Amino acid sequence: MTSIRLENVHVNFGKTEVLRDISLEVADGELCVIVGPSGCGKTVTLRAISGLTRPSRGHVYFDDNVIDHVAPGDRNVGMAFQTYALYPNMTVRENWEFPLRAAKRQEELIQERVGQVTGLLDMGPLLNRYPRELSGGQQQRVALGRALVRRPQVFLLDEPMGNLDAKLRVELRASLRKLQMDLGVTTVYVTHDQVDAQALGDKIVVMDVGSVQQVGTPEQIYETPANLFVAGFIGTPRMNFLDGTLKQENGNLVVEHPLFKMDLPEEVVGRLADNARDRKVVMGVRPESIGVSTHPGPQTIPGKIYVCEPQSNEVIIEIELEEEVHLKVRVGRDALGFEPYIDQLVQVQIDPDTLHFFDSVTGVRLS
Amino acid sequence: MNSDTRETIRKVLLFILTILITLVFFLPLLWVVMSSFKTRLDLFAIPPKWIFTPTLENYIGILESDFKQQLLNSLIIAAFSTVYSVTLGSLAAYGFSRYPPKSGNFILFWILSLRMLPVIAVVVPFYLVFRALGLLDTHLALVLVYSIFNISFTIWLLKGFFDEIPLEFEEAAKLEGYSPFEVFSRVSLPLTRPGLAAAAMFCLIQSLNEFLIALALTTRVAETAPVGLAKLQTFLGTDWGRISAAATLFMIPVVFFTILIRNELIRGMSFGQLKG
Repeated sequence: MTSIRLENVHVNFGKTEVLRDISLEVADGELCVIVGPSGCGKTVTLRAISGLTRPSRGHVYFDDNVIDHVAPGDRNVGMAFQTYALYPNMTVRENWEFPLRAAKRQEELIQERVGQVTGLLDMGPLLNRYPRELSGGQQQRVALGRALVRRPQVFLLDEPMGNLDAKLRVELRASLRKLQMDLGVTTVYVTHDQVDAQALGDKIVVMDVGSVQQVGTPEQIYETPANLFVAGFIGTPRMNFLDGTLKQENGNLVVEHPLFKMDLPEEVVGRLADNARDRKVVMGVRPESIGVSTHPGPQTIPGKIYVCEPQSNEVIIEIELEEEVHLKVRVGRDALGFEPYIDQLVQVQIDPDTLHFFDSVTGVRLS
Repeated sequence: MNSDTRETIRKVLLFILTILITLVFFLPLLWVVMSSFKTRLDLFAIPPKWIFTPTLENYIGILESDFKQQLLNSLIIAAFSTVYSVTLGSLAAYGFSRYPPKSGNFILFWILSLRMLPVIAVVVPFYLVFRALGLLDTHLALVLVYSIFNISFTIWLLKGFFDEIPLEFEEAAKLEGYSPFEVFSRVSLPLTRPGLAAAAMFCLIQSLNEFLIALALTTRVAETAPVGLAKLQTFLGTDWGRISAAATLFMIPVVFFTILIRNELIRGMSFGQLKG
């Protein structure tokens, strides 16, 4: 099995730099999800690993060997393309045999491998169909199968669920995860969907404008986002951002916003770096860590319900604190305890423990 | 009258109309084929005879003449020129599509401009060139000239087909360990089959039909059927029966080839379904 390492990889298309100094490591057998908005360079990163795109600087390693000059076909990687790229003139069976025939393997071995993949992906009755005769989910399985059939040492998946509807997505996500764990293949999975990333990844790499923003486990990324971009990208609805100032007051550290002032408890202060005093900051607070009630309490902020989006067992409420200052709140129906309606006056409760602080200029997390 | 009957009537009328239009186009062909089986008397009968006793006289006559050799020449030259043009044309088209050279558009236009040349403008130069090469009245001369014209067409036609093939198909094959030539021959080429069929069809018809160059560059050995057909019109009179028989024989290979590749041609018309 194989581990992957990118070392200071740069990729230029003409004069545009699409990848800027990418360094990352994927351990043997790990499923690493690269996530980011479209155009952030995640697909190019995948292509650099596969060898389809040559880095203009930097190196790609499999285990400890530099593979910069190894042709894509000799890297032993299986790749599933976003568009599936199933050969339209071949049946499912032929699509799967094709990679094996490249290596001129023996016919029995080819049939054995195709048989295994058929069983694994449960495609038996569809083997003689052409790709155009299959549904999106089936095509996706064929694409996975074609990447699997050669038993690659590295599995590269480019938005494999991009074209599927939500229900199928959730189903396939689970089976994909199971499959990857059973096979123990080192996998890099590219997606723009942060929900997929959270659900699948052993490790998440968040990218934006051609560079890595943060690498970590799904929990790390969610709980301690490294900067404003990561904080805003991961989580639905996105994190609320409010401008504020950190101040020393009566020996306590407080955060001040035009509408409210909040004492910060010891743990929070301890987490903050020493230089995080007397400065402008951006406060981040997750929609799910805000409480809403109809009665005022200590340290609550008054507001008015602006929009209400009921979900199955939750409600997403947008609350207007004042003109142009809105907070999104996600709260369970039961926890809410009342039926919200538009223009209702409510009290918002923010737990200072759950606040994230970012530098107002650089956007970097303060801690 | 309910809407079902109205629909049926509409369909029947359309069908009749289609038949009529087809007949209009088909009539001259039918006339030639019929004439080839008629005696000289029946040929010029007025009103025209639709029912007559067929005779093979014209065919026997034409096959005993030089026409047999001329037909063979035509087929050999057309076949070689077609194979040559489609092979080289597809390779070049693939190159232009996947590895576009600098100033590729200029080169492509230059290639296209070869096709725009009026044939009559190049007959004399070709004659001089082939005379200098000692290739006058050879099959090779005509194969070469026809290929020059046909290759430029096949490049343009096939480049469009190759452009339509998503790059991912080739990248997938590349990752699977296929060499660049195998990627071309095993992935991309099979996907352009409708284009190849159309290109081959076109080259074949062009090469079979060509008259002017064949007339100038051949005298006996490599003389082609169109030239032979024209020579049947002599100052002693025109033997329409024999000409019809010759024309009928000449049609057979094209009809046969069209039937052979008709599925590909139809698929070529519904072109653009490759994406996916």
